[in-house]
Amino acid sequence: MISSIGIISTWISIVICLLLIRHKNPYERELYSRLLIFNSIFQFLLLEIALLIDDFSIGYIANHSATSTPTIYKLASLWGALDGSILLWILCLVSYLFYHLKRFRSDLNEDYENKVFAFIILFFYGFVVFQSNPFAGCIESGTIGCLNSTLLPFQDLDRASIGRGPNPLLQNHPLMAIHPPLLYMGYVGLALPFAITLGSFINKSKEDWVSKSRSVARVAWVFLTIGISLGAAWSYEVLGWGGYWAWDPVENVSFIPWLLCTGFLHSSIVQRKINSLVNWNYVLIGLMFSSTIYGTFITRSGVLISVHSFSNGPIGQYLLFGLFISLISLIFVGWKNENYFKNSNKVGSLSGKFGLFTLNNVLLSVAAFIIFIGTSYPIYFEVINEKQISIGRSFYDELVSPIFLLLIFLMILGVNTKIKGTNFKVFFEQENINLIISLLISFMMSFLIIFNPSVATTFVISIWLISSITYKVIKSIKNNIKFSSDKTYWSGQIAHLGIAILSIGIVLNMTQSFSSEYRVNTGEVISFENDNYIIGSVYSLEFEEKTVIAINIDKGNKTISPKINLFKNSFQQGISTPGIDRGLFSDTYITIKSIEDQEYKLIFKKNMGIQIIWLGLLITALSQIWKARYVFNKK
Amino acid sequence: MYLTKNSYIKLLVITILVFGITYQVNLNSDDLTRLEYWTNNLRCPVCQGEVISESPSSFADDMELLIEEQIKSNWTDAEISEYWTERYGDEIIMNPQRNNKVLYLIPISLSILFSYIFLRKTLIQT
Repeated sequence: MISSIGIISTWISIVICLLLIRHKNPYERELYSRLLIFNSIFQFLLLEIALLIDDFSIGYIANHSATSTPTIYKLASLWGALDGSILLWILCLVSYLFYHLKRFRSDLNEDYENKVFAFIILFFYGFVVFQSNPFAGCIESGTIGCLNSTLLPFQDLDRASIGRGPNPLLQNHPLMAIHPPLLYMGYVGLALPFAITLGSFINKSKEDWVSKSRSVARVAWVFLTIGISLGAAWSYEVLGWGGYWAWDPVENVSFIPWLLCTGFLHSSIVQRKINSLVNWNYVLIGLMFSSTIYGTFITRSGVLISVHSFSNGPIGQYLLFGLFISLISLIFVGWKNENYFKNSNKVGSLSGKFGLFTLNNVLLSVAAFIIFIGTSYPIYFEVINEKQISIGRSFYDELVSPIFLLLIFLMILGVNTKIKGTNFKVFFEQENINLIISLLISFMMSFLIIFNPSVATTFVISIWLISSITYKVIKSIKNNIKFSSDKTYWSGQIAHLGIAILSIGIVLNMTQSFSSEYRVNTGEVISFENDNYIIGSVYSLEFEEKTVIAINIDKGNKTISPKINLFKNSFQQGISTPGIDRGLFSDTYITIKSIEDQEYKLIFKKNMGIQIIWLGLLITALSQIWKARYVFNKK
Repeated sequence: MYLTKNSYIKLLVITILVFGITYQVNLNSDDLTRLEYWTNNLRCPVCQGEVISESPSSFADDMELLIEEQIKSNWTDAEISEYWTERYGDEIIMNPQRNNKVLYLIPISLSILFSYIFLRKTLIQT
């Protein structure tokens, strides 16, 4: 029953999308948009209810949920695999449709911004309806899960008796319930600037496409930042290897749009103030959107192997087709409006404020490009040479880190730049005190931690930036300057402060962490990094969906319990959950490698700077929430 | 450039500090051990694209033990590399050396070209 209602509801959505694309007046636009939004929310809730009541007559649910799955992971199963995740994807799209409708109310009879966006939504509904509908009813059930399902409603359904349950990795931590939706909100949000830009060119109202796109891009950017950070946190808390970022293809394709979006948040200022970089902003918005589609293609089409890529369905060609259409329309509209782009100005001085923004865009897009090459190269290499190749983290570390150091240096220049240009003599006079502070702190740090050239450079540059911003803040407070008088500037500086803290955390973590492996038994005492750890006994906990085996390890009055989770629906090995003792500068991170009768193999890892990394990310994300709130309230 | 006495003192302080840091860097530079290098650069063939050090599987553990033995018995990097590629193909090593040049040259050269064209287009008045 739910299956049929769901399928018909998705069909109705297609019709509404078509009606919305053909709307003739504001009233129709409002009506169809609202219907579309309502319908998507309905589908989302319907699938969630079906998941909750274990409706195994729906193929997707039989294959990705189980009766024994805890409620929170039942709800999260909606985005645990391809078909369902597109439903979440669409829900995010329609929330941006709603945002657009409310925030930029248009008096035009036909608003092409809305129409282009409706077209994008139609594109994804097309995939749902014609390729893989999460509501598809099961027509042939196996002993576990469903083997075959139908895209048509009102069929004789064969109810699967046992659900397959979600992927063990996805039901091991509550972060899985919030990381994907937030990341999707960011990822999907980049479609709206694209629709706004194309739409406003077709509307022939070209005054404010960049301002509008900017405010949407900032919202998407905040979600993207938080989403990526939570993904890093999930990786740290669940995967058990003690890291947070592995340059995994899926991480990369969420990072590429983030870099481009960060670039756009800067370059859009240049266009608003002096009408430069107009064609670049146009291209950049297109690239932002294309990079999300391309990223989805790479990770969802099965061309790459990674811990995230969970399908190899027909979505590949479909997405490539969409990518092609969006690029063609971008080029076509740009070509039609050639004269508009010719009227823009040049930036002028490279060391002035706008010159720095331009340089920032060069560096950010180069970084995005390098990551793009690193992620895509294996695919094309395999097609051409019929051999596989793997690109490890050293490629990214070596090529991307210098770019980031340069970017941080630009941020130092950015603290005090005037529009006309930086006078380097004045710059030195202003900054030498901050430089001395950073050199001094770095020099003192060099006695405490392992110092190599990259640690030294990162420390000097990052502390210089922190000191410079702090100095500026103190000076502004002394002169009674209100921070809210220039939120664009101050939110930017706070974001930069976050990035500086983040880079210190990253470099600490990369160079100062260490680990050792122990073979122990109950009652033994391990001394690791000046602390004594008493190994307790092994115990196991039975849950409906899994068995947990844990060891209590006492450190002073604290107890750390690393665990191994054995999921009943999986033939895979147990999934290890680390026991973490958190500290401000370092975490003790203990994972169980194996448990045998008389011997447990444990890995103790000292993870430096993890809290500093989270702090930096938090400051960066919050800075733009502060600014975005201002944008909401302004009108 | 005209500098005051004060500036000379600051310059002196900066120079001394920079040398101090460089000295410290040379003093305690710590390279990766060979084991760390190999566990970070060999892919675990039964996992989903993870390297040995990141993989929780027991296969990766066994690989690590074997590499540890190989290093202990003084195998050269070339020998270790040959041992693993012979059995699992080139893709088991992250960043295979023979492809390195192309892999690094493509992004670097294209990036420089892009930056040049971009800055030319946006900065210079035509």
